[in-house]
Amino acid sequence: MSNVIIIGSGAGGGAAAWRLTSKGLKVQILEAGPSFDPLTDYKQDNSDWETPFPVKEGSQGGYIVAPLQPLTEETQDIRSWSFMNGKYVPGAFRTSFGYHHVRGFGGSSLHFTGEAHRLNPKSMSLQSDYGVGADWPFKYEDLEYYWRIAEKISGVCGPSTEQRSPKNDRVLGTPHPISYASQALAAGARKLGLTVTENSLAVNSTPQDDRADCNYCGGCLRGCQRGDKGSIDVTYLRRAMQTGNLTVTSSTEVLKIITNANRITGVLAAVDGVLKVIEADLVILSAGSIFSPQILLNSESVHSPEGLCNDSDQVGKNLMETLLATSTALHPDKLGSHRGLPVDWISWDFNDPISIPNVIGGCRFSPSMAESDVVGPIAYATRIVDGWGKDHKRNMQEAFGRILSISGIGESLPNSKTFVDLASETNSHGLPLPRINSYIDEMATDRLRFMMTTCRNILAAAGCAAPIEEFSSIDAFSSTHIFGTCRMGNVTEECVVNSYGQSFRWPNLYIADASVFPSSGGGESPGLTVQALAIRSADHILRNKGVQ
Amino acid sequence: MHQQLFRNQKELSWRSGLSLDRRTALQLMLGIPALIFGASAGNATSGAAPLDPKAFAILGNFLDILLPKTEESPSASEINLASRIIDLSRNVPNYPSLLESGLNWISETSQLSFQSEFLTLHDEKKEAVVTAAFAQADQTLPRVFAKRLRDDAMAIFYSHPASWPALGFEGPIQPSGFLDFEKAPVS
Repeated sequence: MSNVIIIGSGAGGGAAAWRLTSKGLKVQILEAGPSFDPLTDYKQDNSDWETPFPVKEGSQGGYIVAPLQPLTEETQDIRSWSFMNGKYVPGAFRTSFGYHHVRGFGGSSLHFTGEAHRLNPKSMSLQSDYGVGADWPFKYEDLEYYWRIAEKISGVCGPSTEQRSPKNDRVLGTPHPISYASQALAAGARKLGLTVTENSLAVNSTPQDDRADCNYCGGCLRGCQRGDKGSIDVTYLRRAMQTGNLTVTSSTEVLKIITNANRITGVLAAVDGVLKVIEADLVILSAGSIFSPQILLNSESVHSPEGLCNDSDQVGKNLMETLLATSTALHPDKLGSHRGLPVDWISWDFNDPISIPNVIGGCRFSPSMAESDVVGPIAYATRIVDGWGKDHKRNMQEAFGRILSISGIGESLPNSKTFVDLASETNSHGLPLPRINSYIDEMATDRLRFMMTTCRNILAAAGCAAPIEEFSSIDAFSSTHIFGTCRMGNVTEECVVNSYGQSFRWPNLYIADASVFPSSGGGESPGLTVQALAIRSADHILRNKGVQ
Repeated sequence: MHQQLFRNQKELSWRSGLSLDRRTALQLMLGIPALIFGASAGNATSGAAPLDPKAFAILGNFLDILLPKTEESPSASEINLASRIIDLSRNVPNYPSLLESGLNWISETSQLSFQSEFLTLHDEKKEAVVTAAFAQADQTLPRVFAKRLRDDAMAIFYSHPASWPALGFEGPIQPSGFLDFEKAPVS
């Protein structure tokens, strides 16, 4: 029997596995999805390189999105649309475009852009300072040591100084240069008085960690063939495997966590479709903010009739989603905007919780040509350049490489209508699927409007023509970064786990993923913080076991 | 993050009194690129069974109007695009019948307008027929046919390396990457 079972091999599970195995503990990871081979599964060196990140058997978990709110006339100005396709949501209700995730060895880091952000310290005390959301149960300084470890292991490159940090002593790799096209966007942002800085990215700017340097193909979201992107599979998991203390069982979906009256005793899992009970001394749940609460709620028993860790009815509550506004336009000049890293600069000017007028909760701005997937010839031909015939071919020649796109990503504050519960629909094992309930409230609407307006202003200041495509969370649930649902804190009535991610009731159960976040931050990508929290939880486990 | 959004959404507006049933029209307008990438590029000429030779020829002519040969870029027929469309249609419910019905409409419109077979028309008149298909009301058969075929044709054509030099695109993006990414592109 392994000392520790970890459910999921993404940012939390991978980082915890590395920390524990490097200190000598035996760990078994149960991964619901498959492994991906960068050279055969990713398509960047093929003619069909515009293929999205591959979907393999088991790489997508099942979920339901509950009917979403009606759309109103007051939000017409920030709806999702394109000049070629009209409104992306023509109906009367907000629509789900999906929870974008990867089940597989390395989790959703396989399709991330490499962003590696610490949180703004001011976003960690929203309840105390502004009466909204929840406070983190510790301070920025308490997590700094773990962020530093995560930055080293995942190979973060970026500026050593940063306007949001209380101390400017980060030890990172050389920042990546900003692409020619992104420079044009940056010039627009600076004209508006915004500060632009190189983004912090877990992408090698020089060869390190036995991995190549980036060659700026821009294909991070389609998976990294070169291995220069510090996804969890090539960083934490590779190191953990080298210790000899880690075993990984893929295509193994954990259905329930099993307890006796006092402790977790193991898990019930479908291993290649066959049900098995796997005993455990300690379990770390790292399935993410949608599937972690599903597993807990499906683990009801005589010892926990409302679901595991749900004594206070908090499992699934406080869901926070990705709040996004994106605007895209043509620049007058050929910029070669398909080249370079997807998110090479960032502006943190509005990241503080009270930096947006009349709104609590901040945001960030950055280029998004790759994230909007307007980099390849197919995208131009089907979304940017209308028509057909010789005129179309001529217009393609004129347009290609001129697209600029910019996004704002903002704080998502919890509300009572946004949560995860269990659906009436079931998976192949007869267990309920998770159901996502999402609601955009008035303050989120105001934040989205500020982000969209600023995006348009940056494009205009960069010299672009009027936008030709925009996307906003106002009419579309479309989330990659999802937080909350198993909040950590010190008050058992309001939280699921303590400040180390440990269950209040079940001492040998930890949660290490973004579900424990008390607040989302003002647009920061969560991967680095998930890693830091997981390493912190691992150290707590090691201390309790007397391991130095 | 929202990459998949743009790949999966097509206009879904609907009007009553249409010549295609709603479910069929929606199926035909959704999920195009994923299906294209799922089709076998290696079997580009693997038979055209769903269409008779004449209909297949009309399809080829239609596609050459959408994507004609230019000095810098090949025509649709030069990359066997019609066969790729046929391959694709095998994996999409209702697509073969859409092709058959749409090509019939092209044929009939050609006869009604010009008293000639579409295949024998000069390019200007072929363009007029194609323009008429696009100009029909939303969700009518000729418009759904034309738009679906247009998007599929564009996606297949611009995934072919022969289409890239005209754009100044030196793809695919690996293994070379873009080491000149800090400089203005070479025009």
